[in-house]
Amino acid sequence: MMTFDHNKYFEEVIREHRILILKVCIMFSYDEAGQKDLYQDICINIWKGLPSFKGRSQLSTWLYRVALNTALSQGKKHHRNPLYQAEMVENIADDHISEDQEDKIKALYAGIDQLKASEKAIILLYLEEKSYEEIADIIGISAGNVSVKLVRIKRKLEHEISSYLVKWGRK
Amino acid sequence: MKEQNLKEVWKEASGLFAEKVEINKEKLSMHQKETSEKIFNDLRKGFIFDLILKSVITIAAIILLIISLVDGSILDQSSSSIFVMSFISMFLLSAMIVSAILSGKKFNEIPKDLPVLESLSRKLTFLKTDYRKFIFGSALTAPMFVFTANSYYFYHKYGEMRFDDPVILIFIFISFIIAYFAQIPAYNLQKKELEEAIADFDEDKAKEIEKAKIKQKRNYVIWMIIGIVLLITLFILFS
Repeated sequence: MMTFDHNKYFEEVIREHRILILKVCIMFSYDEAGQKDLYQDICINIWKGLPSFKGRSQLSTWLYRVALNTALSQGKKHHRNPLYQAEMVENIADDHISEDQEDKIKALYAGIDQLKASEKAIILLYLEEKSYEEIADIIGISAGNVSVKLVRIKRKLEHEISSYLVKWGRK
Repeated sequence: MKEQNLKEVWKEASGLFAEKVEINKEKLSMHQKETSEKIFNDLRKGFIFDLILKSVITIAAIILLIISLVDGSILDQSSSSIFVMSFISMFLLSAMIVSAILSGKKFNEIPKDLPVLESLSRKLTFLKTDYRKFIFGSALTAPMFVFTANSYYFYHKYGEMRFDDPVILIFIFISFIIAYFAQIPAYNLQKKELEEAIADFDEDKAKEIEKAKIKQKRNYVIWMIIGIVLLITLFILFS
């Protein structure tokens, strides 16, 4: 059973890193309900695992491991809305971003949605400015392997994004 | 969209989501509170439901065992058949409960913060070993229920166990087959998804998984041949 201090620490961790958790949830969910469920599951696993965090790695590295382990273990959910992320961008985007930028963000998410779960995990860490070594540490493969995979994933993602932009008449 | 551009767009998108989270801060903190109180996930619920069912059947077996002890002498052949069968049921069910609890404990012991690939591999190993055993044990709950219910029926109707009615045995067998095979598609899907995720991350592991699949198929064929040969032998012997 967690002590009061652990509970407080947990709340602090979640408050400070909610964007990190949210990004993983958005990337691995296909609707709002799925996103909320995944958010809950990740929080539960952080709560359970936090007492074992000894600070040997950065907290964000540890959180990515827990979040990605949870997201990748949830299995493939029924693809209810393949453009869910893109639609979400449309809903939250306001006047201060141009239509062109909005389309680019939508295309990025639509493109990411076409990737396999393992590819999503690697590209998420890459986009979050993690080094190859950090990605290797989180995923559990060699840095060389990360580099090879990233080349392939980026090429695939760029192709997908271009297709969406062409489809939406933006290129 | 070029590499640098990808990161820029990602940052912009992150900004959008950050704003959204800031707006819903109160809602999120409420959500967190709910989260820390939510202990059981769906798998656990199924697991616990099976344990409760097994415990209820075990209690029923113990009650029958006590009734048969109080009601008649163990030396009396009719009462002793009820006593022996209740004892066997109780023993089997207790063993299954302990085994299920140990399996659940093993799953919980997988650290949450392992590198992703190792975590997936450990989960796959758990699925192939302990979870497989759990499915078998869980499928035995239904036949144990049928068996214990029949023991009560026989005890009240005849005062002893009856083994001369093959219909009961067929029911017990069918209830096991249905309960077992009803769980196999979901198990196979979970296994397939984990194997695919592992194979996507690591080519070497992908080859290992492929080899294991071939070996498994070969084993299936071998066991099937042994089974058929055994059946034919039994048929020849008894006819």
